[in-house]
Amino acid sequence: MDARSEGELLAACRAGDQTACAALIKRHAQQVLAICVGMVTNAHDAEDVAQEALAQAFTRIPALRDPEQFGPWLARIARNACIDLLRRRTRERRVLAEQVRPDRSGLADTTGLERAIAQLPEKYRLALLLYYFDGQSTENVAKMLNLSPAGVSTRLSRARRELRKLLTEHGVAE
Amino acid sequence: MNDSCESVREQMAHWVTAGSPAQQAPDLERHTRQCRECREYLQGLQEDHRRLEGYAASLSPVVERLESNVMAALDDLPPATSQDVRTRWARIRGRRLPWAAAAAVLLGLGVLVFHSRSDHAVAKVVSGEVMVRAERSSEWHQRSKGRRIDPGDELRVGSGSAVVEISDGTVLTMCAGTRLILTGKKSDSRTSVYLNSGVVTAEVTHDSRPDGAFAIESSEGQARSLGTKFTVRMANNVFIDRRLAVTGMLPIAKRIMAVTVITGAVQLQADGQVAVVKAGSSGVAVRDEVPLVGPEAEVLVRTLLASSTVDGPMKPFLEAHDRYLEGFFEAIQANHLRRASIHANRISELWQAIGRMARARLTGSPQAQAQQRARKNLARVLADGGMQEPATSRQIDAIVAWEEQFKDPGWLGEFVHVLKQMEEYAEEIRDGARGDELGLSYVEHCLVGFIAYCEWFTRFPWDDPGKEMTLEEALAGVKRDLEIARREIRHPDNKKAERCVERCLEYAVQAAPLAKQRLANQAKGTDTRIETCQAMIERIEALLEAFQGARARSRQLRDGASQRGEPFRSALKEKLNAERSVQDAMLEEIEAALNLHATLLRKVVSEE
Repeated sequence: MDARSEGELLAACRAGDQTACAALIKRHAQQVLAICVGMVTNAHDAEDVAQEALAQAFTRIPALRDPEQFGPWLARIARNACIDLLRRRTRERRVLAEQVRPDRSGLADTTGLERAIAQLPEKYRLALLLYYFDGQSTENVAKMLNLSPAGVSTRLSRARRELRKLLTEHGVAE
Repeated sequence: MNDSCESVREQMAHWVTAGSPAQQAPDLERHTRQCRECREYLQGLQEDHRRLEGYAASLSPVVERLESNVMAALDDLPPATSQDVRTRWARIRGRRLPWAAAAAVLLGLGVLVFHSRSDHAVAKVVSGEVMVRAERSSEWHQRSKGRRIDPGDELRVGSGSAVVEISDGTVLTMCAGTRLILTGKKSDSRTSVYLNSGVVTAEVTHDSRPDGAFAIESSEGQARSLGTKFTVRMANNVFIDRRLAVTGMLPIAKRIMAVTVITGAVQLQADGQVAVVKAGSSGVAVRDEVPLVGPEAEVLVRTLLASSTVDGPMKPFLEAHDRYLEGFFEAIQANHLRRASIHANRISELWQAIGRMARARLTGSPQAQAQQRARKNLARVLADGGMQEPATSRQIDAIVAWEEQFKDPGWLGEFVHVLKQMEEYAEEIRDGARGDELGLSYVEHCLVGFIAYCEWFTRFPWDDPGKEMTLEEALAGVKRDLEIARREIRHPDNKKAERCVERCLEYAVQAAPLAKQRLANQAKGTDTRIETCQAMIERIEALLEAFQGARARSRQLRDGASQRGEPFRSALKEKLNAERSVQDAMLEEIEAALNLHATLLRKVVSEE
């Protein structure tokens, strides 16, 4: 783990230091993936779109004015990339039959869980996934979502209750 | 399950990560010992917690793959320089407003002159209708031409506009609906007005205020003149919360004070902070927040409504439209998506109805059944918005009469094109507002394009529909559509980008003979001038070629198959490279051609 602060890493990355970029990607890849899973609700698509979002973000780093805002800025890029994908998907759906999802070998058998997560309202889904993907720290989630830690806790507890309800309905819980 | 179970379960969901309830609250443990259902519920929550941890862990290989793929993709891309990105961003987001034109229209409507009495700031009405209420009085009196207004008086403009001049020579133009208080005090040599609502343009001369101390104040902040002409506008429920785009949370609509500087500069003050707004740009003051200047302020100011700056047959429609738009913002703020959707639907129907009428005129079938239906539809939409039926019919007639006076096919084409774009953006906004918070992010995206076309209404020849489109106007249209195309071309399946580029081509085709004709008239001079003209013609031809290329590329993108199914890395590289080397290069080439074109044009005009 690179010991440099985020501000230092950003400055180095802007100056073309590839190790700094790699360290930043390492720090944030999980969060970006969590947002993408939360938005597109499909791990395979989420991986594609997270990759696209990260690559876009790192080519646009010079446009970032406030290094403090790197996390939220990255989250915004990830969200926009997901929105693009969802729009394309909506349009494709108008003309094409639903495509067969590719094999997601290597992932846990979490179909029921994934389906239930996908049915959560987006604000709960994002908070929940960021929390579990990113070291279970409400402070980190709060920073990414521009919320207060207390607000994140509330969303998390509601998300858990909602998820419990959905899993029970799906019969996955028992 | 009783109330106590419900409350216990709330707490369980809060503390589930802690493992056992006893670690957090003895009450919880006591309850779960006694209540079998709650005990099972807690076990369920703990099981979910473990599943979620497992799910996150199962995606670790994905994260690792992601990291290495992104690094590999970045290795193959040339680094973007800071300048590239900033310039591009500024170009997309920071377009200037046509305020100067709007202010000129307002200034022509009437004049009020303030007369000096010792160091009081006083006023005298010359023309226009101003209602005045004295300090600590509840009665409004109409002040006609020649009547004085005292310090502390509140001024209200009902309809039309009024221009006032304060005793120090400062000229204020107030739009309909504006309310302000003349606050200049005897003990205070500074003059200021307090703006409650509406739009006011101030023209301050260096002679009138050598200390540059004239200020317009409001609940949100203060705009102090540095010798200048500027417009201040108060607006409620502005869609300001930038968190929307980040988190999908609902926006917070706020009251803002928007300042647009026409000449000189203005010092904008809010929350104890000061920012200087220069000519041609805008700033926004919001209470308890640092003044906002730069591209963000431009975007915010652009989202203000259009009707107060347009005078002509379209005004009542734009007023109805603005009411719906305001209702839309209010509903969004209240998290009432259904109501937002109703308003968005009305906006969409309005543009569709007007657009149909214009297209019927373009195709030469003004009496067609379709147009009758469009008129009826429009009347219904407007009547639903609170407009009276007879007035509506007259207004529709006024628009039809105005359109029929278009001599220049360029203006008619432009009108139809703008309406079509408004119609489509309104539809997308309507569809977005029907969805969830995700949809609202897309609504935000569409609003920028929508507002850009809204602004265009100030540029139509409302007072002289027979006017021919000038070269400069055609080029301004090209620039507008280029900017929209830039925003939209990122979506390969989006027809808007293609339509914009096609429209640019139409413009260029129209602009080329105009430019050639102008050059032919001017090329009779010196060798330098002929050389300049020749270069300009070549540039126009290059411009046409670039447009044709961009159009072909746009079609290719639209018709191209989806990239899904291809190995992602190569698709990503292709996409990023394509974006840089084809779309951007193409658009930049067009823009470079346009810039040079404009420079050459200025040169020719200055040599005239």
